[in-house]
Amino acid sequence: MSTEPLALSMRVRTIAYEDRIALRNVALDIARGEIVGVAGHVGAGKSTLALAAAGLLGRSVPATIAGAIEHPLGGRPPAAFVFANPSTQLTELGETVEEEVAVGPENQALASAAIRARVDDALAQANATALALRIPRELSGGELQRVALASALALEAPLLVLDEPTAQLDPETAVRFAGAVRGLRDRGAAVLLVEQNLELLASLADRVILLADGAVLATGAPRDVLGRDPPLDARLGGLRTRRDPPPASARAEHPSLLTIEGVSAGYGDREVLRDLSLTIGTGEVVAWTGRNGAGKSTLARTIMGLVEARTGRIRLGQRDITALPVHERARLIGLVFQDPRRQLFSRTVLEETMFGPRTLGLSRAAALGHAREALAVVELHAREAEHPGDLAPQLQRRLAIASALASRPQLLMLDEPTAGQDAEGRWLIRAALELQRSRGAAAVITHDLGFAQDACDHNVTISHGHVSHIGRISLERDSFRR
Amino acid sequence: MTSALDRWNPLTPLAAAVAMVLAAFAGPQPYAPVLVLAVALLVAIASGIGFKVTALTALVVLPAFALLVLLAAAFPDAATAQRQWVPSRAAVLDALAVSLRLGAAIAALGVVVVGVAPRRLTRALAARGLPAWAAYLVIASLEAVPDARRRADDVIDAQRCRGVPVGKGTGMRGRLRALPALAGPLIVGLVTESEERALALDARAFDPRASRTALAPIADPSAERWARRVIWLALAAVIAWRLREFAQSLTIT
Repeated sequence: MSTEPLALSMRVRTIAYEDRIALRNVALDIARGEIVGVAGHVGAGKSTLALAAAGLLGRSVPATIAGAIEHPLGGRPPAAFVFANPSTQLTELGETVEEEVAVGPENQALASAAIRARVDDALAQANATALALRIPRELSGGELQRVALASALALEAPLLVLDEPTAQLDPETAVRFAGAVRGLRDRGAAVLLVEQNLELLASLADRVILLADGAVLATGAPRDVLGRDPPLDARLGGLRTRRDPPPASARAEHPSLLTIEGVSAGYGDREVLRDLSLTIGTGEVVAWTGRNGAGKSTLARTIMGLVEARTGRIRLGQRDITALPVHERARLIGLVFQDPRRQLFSRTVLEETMFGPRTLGLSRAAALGHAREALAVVELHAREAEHPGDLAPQLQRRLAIASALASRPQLLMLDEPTAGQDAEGRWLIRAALELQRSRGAAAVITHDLGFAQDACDHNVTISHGHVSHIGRISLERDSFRR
Repeated sequence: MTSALDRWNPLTPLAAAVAMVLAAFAGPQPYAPVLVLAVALLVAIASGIGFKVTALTALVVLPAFALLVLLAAAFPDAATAQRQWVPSRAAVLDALAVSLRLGAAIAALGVVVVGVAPRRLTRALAARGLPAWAAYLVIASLEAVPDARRRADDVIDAQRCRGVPVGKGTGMRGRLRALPALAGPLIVGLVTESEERALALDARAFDPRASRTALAPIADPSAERWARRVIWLALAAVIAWRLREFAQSLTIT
């Protein structure tokens, strides 16, 4: 146990939202210069623990806490927080990224020179210096997450609480982020890190707490908690007892399903895609990777018709769809956005899944069949009568994928589908991709190279708006340890 | 958005605009509002925001003038009651005078609203002691419409991808059918966003009662401070003059 003074002392009997107990019997101390990791399945209570540790529960988030949560080192605020959804971090008080990052130090009433130093340092640590003068709401998801990190780092609070901080970061930035967290520890900060990326957790944390169903299942050194038998996934619900999805088909002869030839596209004066060409074969599942802001999401939006192709042609099979309206393309192509809350509106999970097929003209009976099949693939069939708004964000994402699957498109594109997903969620999304493979093809925009390696046939790297590399995914498993 | 006015401390154009509005109403008629309107439009043109300010002014003043003339025609005074639906010359001149004052006020304040970045204005006001909650309220109000529009665009994109026809060529029936799919996520999203914003502010040490500092404080050169003092003095003089005239008219009566 560390002899350093404590930044967090938590003795909690229960934490409840209305009548539902989300966390019980948690005793947690974090000392200066210590990184404590938190792992667990979706709904295990990780985010509740993180919000409580940061002192945000019961204030901004209504909850009843039985017990005591203390921050002996004080501070205003005593803890900085990085949210799983980076757009949640934005206060909108700043017009540019650097002004947004400065909001915390401005609230701390620091002098201008001190604020400037904090902002520059935080942006550098988050690999976001180049974004300083950009407008936050125009950034990609990954870029926004870097800004969210910088905004929290700029507070220089004694305790830093990170809830899935690398979910949307490209691998290079994630590695830099790991280095930045180590640097913070070396400078005496205490860190609570909630993370589904167990490799990152094992490489960073001094101690790990494993949560299951709102209680502590195990706690100790990462090697002991994450590496012992039976494996972690098995202890979290027998996930490893599942049959693995069918192996990704060997890259054989795949007749082209999607062909993109010399497409350029962008927003206003800003050109994002530059003379981009690629193909996806029938029966392929392809990963689109690249740095934050490289143009991956814009590529998907252009294929879907949401962004106009200024030059070039897009064909699906033999059909030129370059000028086809979006609602007509929806019969052929499905796109699931990073934020599923943009689309959920029905009263039940089942109705939400049936909406796409019904809109495309299927009979109620046929739509019901498609919806139930898709919900079974992502294992939401038992919750078909629930309100979509009552689902956890990770389950909402799976619901959005099921909704797209139910329309049975020839090509399905998923934007960062595994962000925040536990092992079970990742397995189910992989199963959904295998089903899609049998019907056409799929493209996955992801920074999760482990998932891409397991679920996809090959990788297309997008860089500065064009394809810079096509090939097998190679993953450096120990990259976070550097 | 930036304009040539961003070279100034935002309090200076704000003070000038408030003074111009009061001068338009308190100064000699009809010369004062005409002068204020002309000056405001000239400043707007010089600052590169002439079209927006002129459009804003016309959008308010022309319908107001038309409405006043119509009212005068529909409800004439006793002397001209027999000439129904034809406004008297006096009524038209009255409508013109009211519209001119209104136009002068809209143009003067429009220069500030269009030409001064709201975050600069609130930062300058915060430096003068405006509480953090009030500054946030100003920004949130100004950003509410663009925020809702952005979110609506996101929702429309997501639902178009599910086959919902939106835009040109969509009939009334199609629009009505699309309404729940578009309005539902938008309304829920706006409510959720306000809760998330509160959480984000709390996580960033925002205290509505405390004072804040700034990354880049707005410069306030002494020349501008003196200019504002002169503006307030001139304004006080105009108001005093009008009050004196008013008091004299009461004595004569």
